[in-house]
Amino acid sequence: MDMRNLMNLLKSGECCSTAMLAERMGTTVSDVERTLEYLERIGVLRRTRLGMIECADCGSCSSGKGGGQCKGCMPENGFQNMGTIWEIADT
Amino acid sequence: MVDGKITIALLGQPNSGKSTLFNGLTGLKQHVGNWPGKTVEKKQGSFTHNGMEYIVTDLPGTYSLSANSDEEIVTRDYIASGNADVVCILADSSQLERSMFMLADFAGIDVPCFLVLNLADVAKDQGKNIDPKKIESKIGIPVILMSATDVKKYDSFFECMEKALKDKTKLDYSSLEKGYETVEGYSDLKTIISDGLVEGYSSTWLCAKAVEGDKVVRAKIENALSGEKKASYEKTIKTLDKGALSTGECKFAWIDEILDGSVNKVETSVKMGKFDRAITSKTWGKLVVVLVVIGGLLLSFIPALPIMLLGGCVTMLDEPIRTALTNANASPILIGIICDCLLMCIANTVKMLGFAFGITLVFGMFEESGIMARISYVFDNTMSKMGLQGKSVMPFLVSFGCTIGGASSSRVIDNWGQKILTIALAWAVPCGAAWAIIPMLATSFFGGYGVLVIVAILVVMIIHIWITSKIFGRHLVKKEDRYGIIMELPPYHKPKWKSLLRYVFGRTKDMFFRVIKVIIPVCLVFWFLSYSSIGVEGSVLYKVGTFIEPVTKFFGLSWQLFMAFIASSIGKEGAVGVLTALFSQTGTIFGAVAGSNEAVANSTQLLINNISGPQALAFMFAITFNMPCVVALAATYQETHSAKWTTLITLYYEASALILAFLAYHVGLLIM
Repeated sequence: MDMRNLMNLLKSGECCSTAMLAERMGTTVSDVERTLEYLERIGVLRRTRLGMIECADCGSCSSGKGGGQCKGCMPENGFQNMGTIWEIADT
Repeated sequence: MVDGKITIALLGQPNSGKSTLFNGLTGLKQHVGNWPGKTVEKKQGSFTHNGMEYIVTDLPGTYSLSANSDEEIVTRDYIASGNADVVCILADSSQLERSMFMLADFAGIDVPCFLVLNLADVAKDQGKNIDPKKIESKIGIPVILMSATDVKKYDSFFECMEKALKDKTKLDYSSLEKGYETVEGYSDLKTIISDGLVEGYSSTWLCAKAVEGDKVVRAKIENALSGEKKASYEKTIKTLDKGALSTGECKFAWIDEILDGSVNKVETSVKMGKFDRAITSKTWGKLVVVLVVIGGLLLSFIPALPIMLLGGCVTMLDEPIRTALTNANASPILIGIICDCLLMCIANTVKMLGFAFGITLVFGMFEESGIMARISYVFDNTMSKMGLQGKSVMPFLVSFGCTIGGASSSRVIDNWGQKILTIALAWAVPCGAAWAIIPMLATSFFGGYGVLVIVAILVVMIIHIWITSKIFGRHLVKKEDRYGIIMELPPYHKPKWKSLLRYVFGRTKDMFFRVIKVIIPVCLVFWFLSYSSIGVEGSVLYKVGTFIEPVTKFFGLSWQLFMAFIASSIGKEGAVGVLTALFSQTGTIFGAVAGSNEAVANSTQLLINNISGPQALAFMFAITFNMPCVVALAATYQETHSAKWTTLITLYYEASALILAFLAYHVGLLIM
């Protein structure tokens, strides 16, 4: 996969899924995934797993006492099926 | 060889089964320490085979041999030192395209080696048929396919190891080098860097790492060079930019070349599911998603209805309680407080919870099943155009539940401007409390057409977000900060019903207490302010209300509704508290203002009789789009650390809520 093309695609502001990217580049999803993993390792891309992060000071619900996941806002261990994103790392 | 013992180094990525092989070979004969001068764990063990004693060094599990971490530096320095007689490189057979990267990164280190394709059982389960002999013929070193967990079948491993030791087999990477030659700067460096310039490394390996920008390797080369060569090296290095992209491509291409014809399972090109294809369509994608969201909202009415009916049942208690209190000679104030405030507050809260329950359940299902990720994916593109990061999607989605959580979720956004913009836009997303109140009011005033009001609010939300991004974005986000993203969509799966229902009931219970805590005090305060024993004109609220009404009417809000609008800034539930107080049956204010002393069935009916459709519409838009609540305000300040931006966002939302109320009122006048 042409990694520079991939970077240009991201710089143009375009968003795509790994499946779409594989289709567009005429390759396999595993090729896309290993490339993304590589780009993350060399610090070009940054990976974020989408999911609920802790509410620091959510005092408005009974479970949100701060310093832990706010179960009142989100399901316990919930919002973990939101996928993963890769974006250009600030260099 | 040290003291007649042969040393084997185990090299591989994490999870390649290195430790399993190490344990399988050495059993209990192991000791653990640290590498000299590093806090990196050093594991060594020994075993005897065919009368020979072997020392096994389990090198730290690393992804590559670049200088990204202490582990990687320790690993490559050890290999290049020549302390190991042979290097056993492990790769995970179930994902050879990825795990053979270590082999590619090793290429060029001049040490005897052999390749173990571990986890053969997993690869077999995946339907992969791997031919190690074909791989062997391509790379020139012994290759074995095995499962390190199966200790009884280590014979072929030992055969392979002995062959590598006997023949001193070296990796054939000529084909990889041909790829490197196409990389900018590589050939120039090759003329400068000779084999052995840095002990243990070939010029190929050194040049590739120098191109990649490996600082440790570059420093070693610089120290080893002098004179013209050094100057020429420094000049070449300066011209290189992101060489790791090109060498990475070469390594992956080399791996594919090795695997071509050696692994029989060909991955078919990706076929996206129908839904994925629909949402990723440039033409229909957003429409499909909007329809899914609307469908979800409509669906949420189904579980809401029984709970709403329960709220209606609570109001039926009004008459028997009122009669009982009257018979017990209770004072009118006490009757008013119990029946008009407490009972009505509980009834309204239960009705609100119906929608909160329904929406939480439906959107929880969307999340669990993987649909929510796809919805966020579709809007990622739009967000990128608004100058936001892909990560902004999470604060937005969380804000549907609670704006406070939304503001907190923005913590993952490292760009300060984008973080503030994300929070500013997340305020426009109606929170859980709004989703509880608005459908209740919409169905009360407009019956079945209430759904259209909700859809209109969603459409306005999108437009609001767009306009707000334009207003705030130009001050907060520079064009060069705007990048796209790649998203890995999760697979679809059935929701975990038990966990989901536990969450939905828990959240509903939480909301009940949170709402009650706001509604009852607000209702009591406004009830007392509106209560007067000497006639309507005597109440404080009436005097204030009639004074400000010429202004509030401009926005389509009667003074009572304006009071509720102000109270909704404390928390959306506050609006219901005010309405309950002002439009309760014994509330003298309402009766006087409305000029009617007729008894009506309940407070909702009283609302409908005395608030016009356009006014109701204006009110719903006003409370949906004003500031979410005071705690959200505090959370915004906490995340932005900027009083200036927190104030600007607050004022902006208060003003835009009134403007939207004005527009909704006049649109309402035209169509009703």
